Amino acid sequence: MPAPLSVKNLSVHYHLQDEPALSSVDYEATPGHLTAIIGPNGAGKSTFLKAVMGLIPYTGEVKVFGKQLKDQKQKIAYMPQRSSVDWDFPISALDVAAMGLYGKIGFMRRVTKQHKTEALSYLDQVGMADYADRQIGQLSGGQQQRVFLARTLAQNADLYFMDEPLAGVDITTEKIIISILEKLKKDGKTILVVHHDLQSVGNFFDDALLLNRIKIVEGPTKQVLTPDNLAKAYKTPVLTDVA
Amino acid sequence: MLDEFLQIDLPAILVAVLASIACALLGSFLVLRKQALMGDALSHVVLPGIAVGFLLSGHINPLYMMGGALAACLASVLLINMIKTWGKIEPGAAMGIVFTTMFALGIVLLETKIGSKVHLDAQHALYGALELTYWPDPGNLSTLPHQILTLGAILILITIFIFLFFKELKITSFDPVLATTMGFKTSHLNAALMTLVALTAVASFEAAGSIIVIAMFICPAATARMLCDNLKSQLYVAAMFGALSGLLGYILAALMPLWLGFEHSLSASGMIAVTAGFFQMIAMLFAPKYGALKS
Amino acid sequence: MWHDLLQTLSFQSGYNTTLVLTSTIVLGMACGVIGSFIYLRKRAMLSDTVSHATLPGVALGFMAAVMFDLNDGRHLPTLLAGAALTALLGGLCVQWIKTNTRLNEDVAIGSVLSVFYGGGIVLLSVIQRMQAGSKAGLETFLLGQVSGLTQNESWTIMIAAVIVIIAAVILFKELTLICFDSLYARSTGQPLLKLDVTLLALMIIVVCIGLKTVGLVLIVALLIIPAVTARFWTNNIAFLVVLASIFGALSCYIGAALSATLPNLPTGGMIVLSAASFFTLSFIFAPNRGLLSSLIGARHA
Repeated sequence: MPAPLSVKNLSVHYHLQDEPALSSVDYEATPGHLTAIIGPNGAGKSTFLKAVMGLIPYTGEVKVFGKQLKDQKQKIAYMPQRSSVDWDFPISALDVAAMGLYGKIGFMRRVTKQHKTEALSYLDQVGMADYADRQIGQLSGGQQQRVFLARTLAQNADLYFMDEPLAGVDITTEKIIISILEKLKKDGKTILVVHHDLQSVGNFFDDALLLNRIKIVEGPTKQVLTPDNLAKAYKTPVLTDVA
Repeated sequence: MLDEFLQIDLPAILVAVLASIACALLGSFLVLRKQALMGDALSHVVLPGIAVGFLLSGHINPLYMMGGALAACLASVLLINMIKTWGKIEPGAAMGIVFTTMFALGIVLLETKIGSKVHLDAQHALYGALELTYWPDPGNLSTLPHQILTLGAILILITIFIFLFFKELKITSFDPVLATTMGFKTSHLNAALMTLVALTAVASFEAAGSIIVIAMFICPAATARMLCDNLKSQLYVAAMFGALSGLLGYILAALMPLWLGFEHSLSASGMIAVTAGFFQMIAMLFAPKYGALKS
Repeated sequence: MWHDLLQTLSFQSGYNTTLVLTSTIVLGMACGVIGSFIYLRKRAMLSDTVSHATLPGVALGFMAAVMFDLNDGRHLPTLLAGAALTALLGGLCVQWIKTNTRLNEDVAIGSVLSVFYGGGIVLLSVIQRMQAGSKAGLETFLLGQVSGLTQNESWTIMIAAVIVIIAAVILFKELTLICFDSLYARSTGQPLLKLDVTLLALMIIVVCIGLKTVGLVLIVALLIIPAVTARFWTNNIAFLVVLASIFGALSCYIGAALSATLPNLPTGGMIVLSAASFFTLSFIFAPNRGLLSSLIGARHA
């Protein structure tokens, strides 16, 4: 069985920037593991996710379950950063969740009652069924994040990419997101999460990938989060009790 | 031949060059502040202002018409802001609503009531009327077309404004958030800048038509932006390309066809815009540091 | 006068006027539908560039028609083909500048608009000189004139507008997705580029069929204003598209009828002013986003 995600010599060079955002990253995801992508601001964590999903130009080789990504879109699901959408958009929580089913529904086909019922069940999983008809801008930050998670779940993928799902959310939302992550893991899914909080990495994640424009190190969380490695990534010694 | 040049071509060239430099200088700030379309919007808004100015004064009085146009510009800036903040509508759409409505109002006013009486009709707004500038008695400064004097005065005003507030303009254009935390009154400076933009749009519109205004607020500044990394050189280069486009565009449209033996000249306003666009295209492709085709 | 207006408004001014009015109403619906997606995709000002960029195409089309001796130049299909061609070129230029240079989108939009429009004016002046006095009749493309519309042209407009509406309805789900969250749309394998180009193409079609009635300077208003007006009344995108098409249709109905009845009223201007009246009422009185409810809300807060 090929690795869910295997990356060889991945580099990203943004237009009109002198330095590459990422250089020669090699990485292989362990099946069924929950992996944190960590590193300082501007280290290229979101860039890494976007590149492996082919959302930005890159050089190098990316394989998803042993095949080219473009043949495997049904097997991946992406949860973008909260800031990437216009919250004033005239759309309800239920409609957003239903977007996760679009791949299944098919090009130019209608969204039926059945699909809406299915989308509602995903909202229910994240405790948002009561808010199904609300316009998304009228929800709190944590609630919006849960609606996005419901949309991601609706895709029913094998490999999940999530960009900062836990950033700036309330305690309830954090608990719900963590329990969903654990449930996905139990179902044998592979999950990559960009994570900002070094303190909590050890509590939830099996593996970690430490980036700062290059790959510093990858492996089981405990082995990654050593003072040496963190100093290398963050340039200055980081005080942390996780290691 | 020489008389014709002095009476018709020289004043037109002067108007084109002065308007172009004024627009290019202010345009640099608009481009850097991501407000490039403000110039476009305001050049449309001038029209109903002129029409209303005429209705109020009852005859062709440049002062009333300029006043009306300026008032229309400022009212539009306010309206756009209201629609953005109260209506929560994104800036591009808010701008689009206000300037098209104002322009429609201007067109309807001009086509119905006053169009026949005012020299300035819809055609003027759509094509530009650079060719109408006329210096009856060349050499006699007292008969110098008022458009030249107005534009000259506005250019001096702009230069003084930039000279006095260079530091403030620099920081508020570069980093508005930092400027606010440092105690700079960004809103005041922005209001002053918008007033100058409106004033320039009105004067250039009256002298040269809307197409020059739109092109000159953006193209020379964009050309300079491709070539320069600091504000001072940005301003010099933009002014230079503005002047060059005005001069060259006029020659290409008004004089070149005659030299080539054709009977009629072409639209100078349009040609000036095309010339400015040509410079911008060259800069976008071949600028030494930022050009798309740099080796 | 009032009698004439009422007659026009109630579709009783004869077959010709009724046909013209109906085609303008269907055009308004298509503008409302496409305008909704353009507004939500934040491309409102891009449509201004596209419409201005039709001018050189109209002029080139005219020259080509004269050259091939088609109906002394006023051969509508040739003119519209030229218009669509340069409009597309303008749209692609904006895209190229945005992705390949350091200039921002607003600069790209403004510069392409002014240069294409300027080029169009130069070409118009060439035509004017070529024709030596006799008017080419292209002026109506700038501000629109409903009275000059032939029956054939009316049918063309109507059919094209209906096709655009059907296309938008079929692609409703996909267009909604790219408007809301384009990054996510691509991650799920949606053909973002193709959908964007489709939206641009639909935009170009409504702009081109709107040239004769609304005119290229003001067609952008018919794309933006009904959509934004609808936004004041609903938080549901499907309902928004329906409402926008109703506002678009009503604006065209009232504006075109007024312009057809009363002398000297330019059609494009009247249509836009009708649309603007609906907008103004909505902006003042709508719940939540309206001026009054915002002011009352601010006082209570």
